[in-house]
Amino acid sequence: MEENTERKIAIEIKDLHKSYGNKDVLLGINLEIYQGELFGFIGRNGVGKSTTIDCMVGSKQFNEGSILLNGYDILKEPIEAKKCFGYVASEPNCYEVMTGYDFLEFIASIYQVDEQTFSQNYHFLLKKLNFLESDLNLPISTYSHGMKQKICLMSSLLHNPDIWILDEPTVGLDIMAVEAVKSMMLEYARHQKTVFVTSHNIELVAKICDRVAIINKGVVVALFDLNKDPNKRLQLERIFLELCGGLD
Amino acid sequence: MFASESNIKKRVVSILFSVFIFIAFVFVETFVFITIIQKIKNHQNAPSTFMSIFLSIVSAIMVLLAIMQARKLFFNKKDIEQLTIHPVKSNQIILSKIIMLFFSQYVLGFSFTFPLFVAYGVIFHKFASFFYLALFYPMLSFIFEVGLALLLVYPFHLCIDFLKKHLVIQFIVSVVIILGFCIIYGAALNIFMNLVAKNQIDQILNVTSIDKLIAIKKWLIPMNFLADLFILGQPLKFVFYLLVALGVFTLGLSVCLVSYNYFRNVNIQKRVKTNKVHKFRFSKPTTALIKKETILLFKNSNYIFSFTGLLIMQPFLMYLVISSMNTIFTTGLFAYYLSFMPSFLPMIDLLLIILFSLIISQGANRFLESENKNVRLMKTIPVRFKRQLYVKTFIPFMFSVVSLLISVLVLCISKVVSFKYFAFDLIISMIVLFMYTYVSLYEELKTKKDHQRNYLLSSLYGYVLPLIYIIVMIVLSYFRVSIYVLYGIGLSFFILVGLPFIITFPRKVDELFLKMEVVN
Repeated sequence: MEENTERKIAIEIKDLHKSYGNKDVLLGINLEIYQGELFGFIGRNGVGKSTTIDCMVGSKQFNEGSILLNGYDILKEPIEAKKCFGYVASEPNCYEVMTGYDFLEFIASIYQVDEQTFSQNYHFLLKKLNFLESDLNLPISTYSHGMKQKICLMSSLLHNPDIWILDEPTVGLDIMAVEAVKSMMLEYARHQKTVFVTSHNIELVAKICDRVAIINKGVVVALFDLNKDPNKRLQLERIFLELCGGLD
Repeated sequence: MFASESNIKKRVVSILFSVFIFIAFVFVETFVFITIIQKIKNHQNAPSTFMSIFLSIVSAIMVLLAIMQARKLFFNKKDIEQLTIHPVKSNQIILSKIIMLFFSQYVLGFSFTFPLFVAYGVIFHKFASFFYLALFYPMLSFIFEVGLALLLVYPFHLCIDFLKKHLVIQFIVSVVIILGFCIIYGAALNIFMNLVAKNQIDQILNVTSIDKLIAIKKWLIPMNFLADLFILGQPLKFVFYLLVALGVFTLGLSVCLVSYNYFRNVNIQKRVKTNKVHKFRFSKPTTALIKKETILLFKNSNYIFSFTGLLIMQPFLMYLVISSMNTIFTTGLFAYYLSFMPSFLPMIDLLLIILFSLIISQGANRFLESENKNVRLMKTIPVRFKRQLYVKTFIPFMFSVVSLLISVLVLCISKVVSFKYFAFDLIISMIVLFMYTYVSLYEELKTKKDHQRNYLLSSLYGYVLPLIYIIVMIVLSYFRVSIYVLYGIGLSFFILVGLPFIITFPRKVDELFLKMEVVN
């Protein structure tokens, strides 16, 4: 705990409330995620994981609370905050009429990535995700789901963001790609960058995350430091089921 | 079963609209047929020749429809992938698809041809057997029509595939197709004008032209043989038809079988891969957004026919319709009545110019709907919402304005519209178009997730207000108010009604966009 207070906070969520009409989805989420941390955010379907992420990345309005990304308020300083993160949604978000090249070029231009950074990241990511350069010539509409997700993963890292936010990143990826994403997340955190990941794959979260928060019914019901308490890493699935009502 | 209510509504509306269009087409077809056949019924051989030619035209349409349907049935990659995992033989698949093709073609063919047979039979007092036999016409015409469609479907599929990969050629071809349709439409409109406005049917269908029709009929093999069987009762001609049609059908079926098997087993497994080294070109965020919007507009085949292709044809279409309208209003009794309202014609021309540019721009006024899930991407990139949305609306608006400018210039150069009114027509249309574009965006921003967009405001700004303005101005024209005053009123009116929106909208746009729920 002492160690954490010395570390810089990369993501700070305070008292986050969000409702859809009369339905309250988030009932006061409070989280502090540190620089260089690989943070897992898990919960059942429909408890507010994706909504929390949507609020974090500025794609959804929220009723109360605040979200700071690298110290920038997502509502008050949205442009600065958005420059800090790379985001991968659970479903690929890319323009299907564009070719892979067009899309990467578009994203790089939007984030004003310089040519040298682009070139380094581009070649590294192509190799890491085992993506054929020749496929980038084709319209994204011809890609498989996995390839679309890979192009989104690539586009999210082109500008070397300080925070990498991933919502169910492994859905639709083959085993090799899942391994690659896993190692990329670990490597990213090792370089003092922050990774925030949600996944249904508890085994994956237990294996790679430094800390894990469990969300249920719109609130964080548990927060574990898996490095300090390695037992929790082994028991995470059981704890999750207990807390979320899967086990009696 | 699990479709949302809005989707069901959309489907019902779409089906009703298609049925309405289909019925309207059959109605117009039968009306034109009856009108012409009534005029030529006393010329020897003319009615049967005309019927034969009409049936051949219907057959040509049926072949086109059959090609498109056969492509969907035979060369659908997803369907082939699904069928590959089931223990079904190729010939069983082809047989089932041909049966499907037969039923849909029979229903269509019957709807197109039976009213013609009924009209012909009634006019020439045919026996009941004539009407009974007419039920079988689509069955027999199916052999040739589908035979030809099966023969052409694979080359057609290859062409479509080629066009999809070569966007410039796709654009040129779509423009040529639209141009072709415009020329046919222009010719049809011209004939219609001559028939309606000048009542010149006897000049069009004279002895020489009927002789030409008889000569043309001889070349319409084999459909002329089939028509002769049904109209003139010549069984020998049926044997000729059957020989040709069965030959074409057998050939078509063989080609289709081979190409289907090739497509299923070889072609579908190939992936085109090029090893061209790509040179990335980076730009400023706004330039990148402009580039993106241009790509979305020009690379999306939905837009090519509904917007970009039509933009190019707008000057031509506008000229055709406005000059035809002017012809109607400047001849006969209309000319006399309109002399009491000297500004009637320029006002109607202005209304048509506005309507044309709005209807065409409507094809692109689905700014956020076309983004669909990528609204999330728009919301997460570090560019102000306002800037993104303005670029998004400005690109199609700019294309619409350029097309409008060219169209109005064409109208003035061809003296359909006076040069004196050029600036007024252009500026008023531009103001309405501008308002229509931004009100459309506002409507989209206000549309809740899983709800239908409410078109009330855009219809009000785009259609109702111009219509009210034109009607009032025509009334004022009766009182001899100068046309320049009428245009002046128009300019002030459209600026005034747009002003409150223009002032308040930019303040709300960011908030409205943020409030818009993304599609998950």
